Amino acid sequence: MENSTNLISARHLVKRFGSGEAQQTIINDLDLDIRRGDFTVIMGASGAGKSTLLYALSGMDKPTSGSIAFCGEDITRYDADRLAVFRRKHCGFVFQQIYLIDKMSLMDNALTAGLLVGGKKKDVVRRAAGLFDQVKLPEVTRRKFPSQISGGEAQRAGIVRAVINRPEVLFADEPTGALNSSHSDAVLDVFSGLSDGGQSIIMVTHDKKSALRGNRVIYLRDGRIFGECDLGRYTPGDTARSDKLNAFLTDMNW
Amino acid sequence: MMRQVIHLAFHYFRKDKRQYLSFGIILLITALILHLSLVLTLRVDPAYDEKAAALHTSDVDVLIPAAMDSDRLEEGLSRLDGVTELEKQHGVMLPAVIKDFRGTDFRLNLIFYRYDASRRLNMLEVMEESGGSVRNGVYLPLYIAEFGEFPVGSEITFDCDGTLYTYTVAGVVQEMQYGNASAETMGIYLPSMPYQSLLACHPAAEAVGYSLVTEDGADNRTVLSKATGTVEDNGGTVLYSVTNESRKQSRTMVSGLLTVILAAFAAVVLLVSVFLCRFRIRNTVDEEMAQMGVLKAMGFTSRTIIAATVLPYVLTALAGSVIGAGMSYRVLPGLVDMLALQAGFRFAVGFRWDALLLTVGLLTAVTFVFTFLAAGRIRKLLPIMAIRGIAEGGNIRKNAFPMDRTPGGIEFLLMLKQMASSAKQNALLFVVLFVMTVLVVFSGNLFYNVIVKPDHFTLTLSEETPDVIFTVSAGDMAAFRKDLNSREEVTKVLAYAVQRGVKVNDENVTAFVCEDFSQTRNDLCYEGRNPENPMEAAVGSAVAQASGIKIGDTVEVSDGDATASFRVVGLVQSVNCQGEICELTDGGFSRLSEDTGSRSLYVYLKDSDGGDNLIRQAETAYPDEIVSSVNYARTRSEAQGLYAVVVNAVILVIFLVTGLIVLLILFVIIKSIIVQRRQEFGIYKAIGYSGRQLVMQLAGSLMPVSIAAVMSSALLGLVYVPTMNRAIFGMIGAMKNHMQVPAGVLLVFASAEIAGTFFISLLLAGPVRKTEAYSLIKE
Repeated sequence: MENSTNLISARHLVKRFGSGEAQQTIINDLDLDIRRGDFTVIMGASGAGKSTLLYALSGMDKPTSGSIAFCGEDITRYDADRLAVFRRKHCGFVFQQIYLIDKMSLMDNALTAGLLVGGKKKDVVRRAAGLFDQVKLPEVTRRKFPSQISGGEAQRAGIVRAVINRPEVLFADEPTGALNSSHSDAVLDVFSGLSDGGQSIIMVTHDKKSALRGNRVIYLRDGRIFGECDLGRYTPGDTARSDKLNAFLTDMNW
Repeated sequence: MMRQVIHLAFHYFRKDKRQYLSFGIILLITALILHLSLVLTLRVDPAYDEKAAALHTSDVDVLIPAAMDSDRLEEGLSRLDGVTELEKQHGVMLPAVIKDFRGTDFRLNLIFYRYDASRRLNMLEVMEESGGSVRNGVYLPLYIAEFGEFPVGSEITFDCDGTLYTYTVAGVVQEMQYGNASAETMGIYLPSMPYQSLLACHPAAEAVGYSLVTEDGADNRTVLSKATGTVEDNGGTVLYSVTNESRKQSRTMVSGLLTVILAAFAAVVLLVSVFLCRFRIRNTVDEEMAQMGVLKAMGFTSRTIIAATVLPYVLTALAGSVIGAGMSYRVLPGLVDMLALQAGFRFAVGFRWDALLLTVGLLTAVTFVFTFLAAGRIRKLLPIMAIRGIAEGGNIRKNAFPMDRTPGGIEFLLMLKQMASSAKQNALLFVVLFVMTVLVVFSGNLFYNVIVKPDHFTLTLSEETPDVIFTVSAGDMAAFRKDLNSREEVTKVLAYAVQRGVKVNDENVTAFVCEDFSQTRNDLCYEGRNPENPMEAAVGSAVAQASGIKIGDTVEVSDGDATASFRVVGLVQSVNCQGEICELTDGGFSRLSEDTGSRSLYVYLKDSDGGDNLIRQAETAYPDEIVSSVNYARTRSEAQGLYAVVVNAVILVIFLVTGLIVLLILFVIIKSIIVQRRQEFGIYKAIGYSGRQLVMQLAGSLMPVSIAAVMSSALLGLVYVPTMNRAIFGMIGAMKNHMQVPAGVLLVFASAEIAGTFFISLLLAGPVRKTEAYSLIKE
């Protein structure tokens, strides 16, 4: 069922890999609506199709069949270049492996995305600087290469790159998966801050602590939605939300 | 250890087989060109000598009017020092026009011989013959039949003094007595009946050709000068004379030039392949660094790893060079046919072990040395650092072109950054394009000087180039000359004589005698100046070298018994006489001899096409004074047409090979960029860069270096192309060349190369467009 508050609507989504006897169905006739402003968390066991779903919804990968409407526009019919334009205008990405370009400083990584959309260069540089301030990366760090900083700093720079064009939705694929606990908290705080500011976020995670930051948790099994839990807005130290999530995950045989 | 090396080498080969394939193709091209050059070098000269020997070709030929022949002359010639054998043949020598010779009229001097005349010397080898008897048949030399496009069975028409003679081509013969267009005179062979009827129509044109065989080691030019002297002593006039060396020089000149160009071409491609294997080895070390660290940690020695790294290249070079050398035998017949057309004789090129071993040995050895040196870096890898992927010197770089401080749009900035971070690729691309541009601008130079301005090429290879040459009988030619000068179409007339039998410091030379060298069209002087007064002389390059003569020296010049001293004021060149010449003024030569014998009037026209008309009118008006006449502009134009065929082929080959090599190098470079930056391109795609943008970015990042390499090489071409011209043409005796190197032509050729490079880059970068962002990241 489509709704005017829905940012993304996927219908009968199927994604298969391989062919013949080796063919595997990763997403299996899945329907899903993503509401504007939600912090949606996708969970599930390994191989459940979490990342595949995330990349299909973002136009990074093409589904085998089914439709994905983004603000009512079916993006599955777009060719590769139109999808690229769609992504640069509407999507931001944060990856587990961060994927900063290692030959560029953090500032250049952010500007590589920021200058792509257009606008005055001076304004884009100023916005990048503001975002670096927001994620607590000082001037000296912004001039460094990814190999010269910690994983947490790199992931925060990755978030700056992801949101510099004010995307309608921020896609995050296990953003804390490669970070230690303190770095994870810093990154998740940035996500919470963005969510509080009205940023729509879809995040794939294995981590309960990360999942608690979302207001909606979807559990995938065998390429279908196996369960869904509405946690409400994140408040630090809210044990009731934590219990609710634990109960939901227990129901899902997590 | 050997097993480990082979196992590891096989792994490297399998991992990068396409890159080894591209390296192998470049080596194959190098081997093909080098082998062609070697085979031609080793084969053409001996082939000429073998053919000349097989047909018992004379060493010296002198042709005189039959009316001037006598037993005394024959005896005098047979008794000349160094002459071992003499044969006399009667013929009919006529200035003639061959109609429809390759679509045009071709004027030259023809000597019609009896085909069935008994011959001991200058035998004819029948290449092709009509099956049945042919009425009014003619046997044509290979050059006229093939280049003029007169196959057996077709008709050929000669216009001799306004009378048309049409014959059916009964056969094609190979002879070594005359040769090709630059000889200006050729033999035609008629059966008895048509010969007799031609002779009956032109009894005054009957000529006698004396063919002399000299003893081994004899100086044929000395014999020729003595023979000419003997003819003149007996009151005769020489219509035509030639030595075997001159014939060989003119017949093998194009193949000689082609061999030098091919060798230079092979050297350039070899240089490219050397840089390519060095680049690939360094890339392999970068890509396999962690694995090499693991191998070292496991106890593999540096020597084992180096051997395994070098082995695939050496084997690829071995295979590529053997295949390339083998493939050259597919190309050789076509190339040999083209050269045979110019040389006027066919020769076979068989398998050459020496050329094969030299080609394969050289290419494999060079590959081994350079890959071994490049792989030396492996020794310096410390296991743990290598496992962490840190090469010696670390991997911290300077952030080139920071985006917030560098002006320009995002695509331009990314292009700059990509270019700045690809130093190795840029270095390889720069070197390859720089050296390939050497070939491209050299072909542009050939195109301009042989096809656009063919006179530049002709002036370099020939001596004086008037439009019409009249050989006049000894005696007063003032009236004829006055008439020529009064004609509106004539710009000037020069008295010019080519005197054989002259000696400079006891070196035999051909003397060019002219009343005023400043009026000549082709200034042969490459150092100093031409003689201006009777006391001055200029000497040829070979004479100067042999006798150590310098400008300012005094030389003794003698003709027969007369000797006089001359001050050398210049050095002059002659390709046809191999630099064995001297220049004297009329006044200077008269110090040696009162009479210059048969002389020539060199006529220069406002319109070179008016030669036929002038000759027709002059021969009608002065039948007694004119011994022979040549439309030299036409002869020159025909020769230029032939050179153009060869040069067009050379240019085409250079462009094809350059295109192929640039394609292969760009394939290696772009492939390595895509492999090394696969993930980076995925990230670009993920954040919204389109495939078109990435293709343009990748291809565009190669362009600044490409433009810099091509343009700098093209502009430097203004310096090195003249040097190359001097070196290449100097090898065949053209010390001074008239080739011009206009910057515009070089830049046009360079621009075409840049456009081609960009187009190829776009094609090769295409796969980036097709790959999806998600799969790029996941890979």
